[in-house]
Amino acid sequence: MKIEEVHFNHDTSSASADALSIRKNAAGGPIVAPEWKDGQIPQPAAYASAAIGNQVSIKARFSGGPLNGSREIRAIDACLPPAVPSGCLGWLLSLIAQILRALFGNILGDAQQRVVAFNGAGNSGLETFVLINHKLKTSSVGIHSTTWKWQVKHGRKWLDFGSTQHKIYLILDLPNGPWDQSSAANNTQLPWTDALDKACLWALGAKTKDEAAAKITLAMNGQPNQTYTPVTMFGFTPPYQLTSYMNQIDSGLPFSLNCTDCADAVTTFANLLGCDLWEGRFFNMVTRRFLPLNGNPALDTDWVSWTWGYHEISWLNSIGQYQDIYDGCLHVDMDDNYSDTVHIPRNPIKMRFGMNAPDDYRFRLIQSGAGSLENIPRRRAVG
Amino acid sequence: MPGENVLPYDARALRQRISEDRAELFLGFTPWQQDAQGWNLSIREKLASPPGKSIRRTVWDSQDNRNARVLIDIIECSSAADAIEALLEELAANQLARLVEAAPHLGVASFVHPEGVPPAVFFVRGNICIRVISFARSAVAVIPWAERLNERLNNEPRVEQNRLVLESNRKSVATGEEAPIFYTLPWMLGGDGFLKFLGSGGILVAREGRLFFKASKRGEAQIRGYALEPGREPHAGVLNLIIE
Repeated sequence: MKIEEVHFNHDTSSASADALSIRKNAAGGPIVAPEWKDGQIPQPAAYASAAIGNQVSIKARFSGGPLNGSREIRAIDACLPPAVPSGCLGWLLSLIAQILRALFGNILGDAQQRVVAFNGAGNSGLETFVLINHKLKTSSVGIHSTTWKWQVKHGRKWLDFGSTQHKIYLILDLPNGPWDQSSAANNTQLPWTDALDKACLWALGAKTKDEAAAKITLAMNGQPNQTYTPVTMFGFTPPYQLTSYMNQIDSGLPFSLNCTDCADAVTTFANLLGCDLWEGRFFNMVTRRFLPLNGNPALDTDWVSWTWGYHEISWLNSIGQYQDIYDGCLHVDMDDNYSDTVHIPRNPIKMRFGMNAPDDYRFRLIQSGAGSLENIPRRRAVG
Repeated sequence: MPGENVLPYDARALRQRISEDRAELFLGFTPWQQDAQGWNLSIREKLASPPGKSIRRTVWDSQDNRNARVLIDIIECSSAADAIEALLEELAANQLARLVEAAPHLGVASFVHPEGVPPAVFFVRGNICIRVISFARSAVAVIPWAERLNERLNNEPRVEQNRLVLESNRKSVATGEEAPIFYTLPWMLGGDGFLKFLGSGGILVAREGRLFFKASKRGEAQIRGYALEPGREPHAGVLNLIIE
């Protein structure tokens, strides 16, 4: 007997019982089921934790079965945890293995056994298998690997007849704009696996949307090859040049970008995981001294002030004076004495925009000027 | 009171700089290695762009300083008027409260970053808006780069062979009307090749892969075209039309 195909996104109209609709990137086409097909390079699948309903299923097809007969078939996790070795070292190694399994191991659980019928040529139809023991609703953001052992029941024994490997992204909720799940032909706004590779790594282990947005902001801000320029490098007028931005990050070569680019990156990657951020601007300000991208907080000369016509940041849920914001472009200075060389850097992460309270982002960023809000929320389409 | 981004630039005056009876239009223009001697091309990308625009990006790296890089975006628009709009978009997408108008020899309109800011220059030639940006931590003087590109765009080469065929299905065209211009070369241009068209008596517009001449003034109109490519002799073609 042989496993021929495994389908994860078998219902493109929903993600409550199966995987999301995804694509490789803007240039590559959508990834369509079967994601695993014998003899071909396997394709990844992605699940949105909060969207998952009571039952999750996959579909599979087999060949080489009994002619006009039937068999009980199941798939189980091929990577079972080994027995805990004795002693402190054994306990420690076991703990590390458990953590690694939680972060990167199987979250699909097993495919529950069922009877599969075969035709006169020994081929099955496309059969639905319910996933049991899965952790799709309880695991954190990550890129997981599943190896399934496919087994057929002979008498009271289960015999292995095949093995499949799957790369599975787990995100917190259905992606928000610019991403969507529309099945329109060549929809370039389906979640990109190239972007999921980054977002899931940047927000690895996040269990809540706040945590995910915070991790994305920190990781975006901390990319070591970025410096600040006032020019929008990756597209003010849509599309947001996400492909180009990721190419720059991956090149390892130094490059410049501005606040719009940072807001685009934070919003686009966070929303890919199910967060609800918007890009939005405010106008006309002379800033207090802040720490730009890759500035050294210990160097007083790295703390700079700018006169800006606008600044763009990411807003949680909506733009508003007292809404929370994320700014991946800079650290504000939380030290109250702005004339000395002491600085207390803070990443603006879920910081209230506010007005003049000491913990308000506006107070910490703007020294003078209106700083008036433009009430145009944006989620720039990706390209 | 909601904020508004009031830009300190006279958009109307910039739009008025576009001639109505002389035109230049470039298709496929891109920086050449000769524009960047001593620098290595590290990135050549065609960026996703809205309809009516194409954006070609190149990034050039210094051979001596890892932190010296220059980014050049060629934003090719349908017409000179659209290129001015692209320039205005560039100004609006810049965080600086005000950019400085640059030397007048750089196209019909050009702006630069003021001193003390990572260098950048933005200018319009024909239907293209060009931005040259110091793209990493070390400040690179970008005006000489812009001048080299501008000089190459200015260049009207001596041509021995007229193998660029320019035709229209119209012998004459009324003022305000458009005539399609068909151009053919006996070979495909390479990645660095580009076409340059000069027109008198009207403006040139590129739309959905086709070229049009829009007549503005009675009399004779002439459209000249050049096919330019490194390592190959330039070729030219001429088309005359009557404007009624």
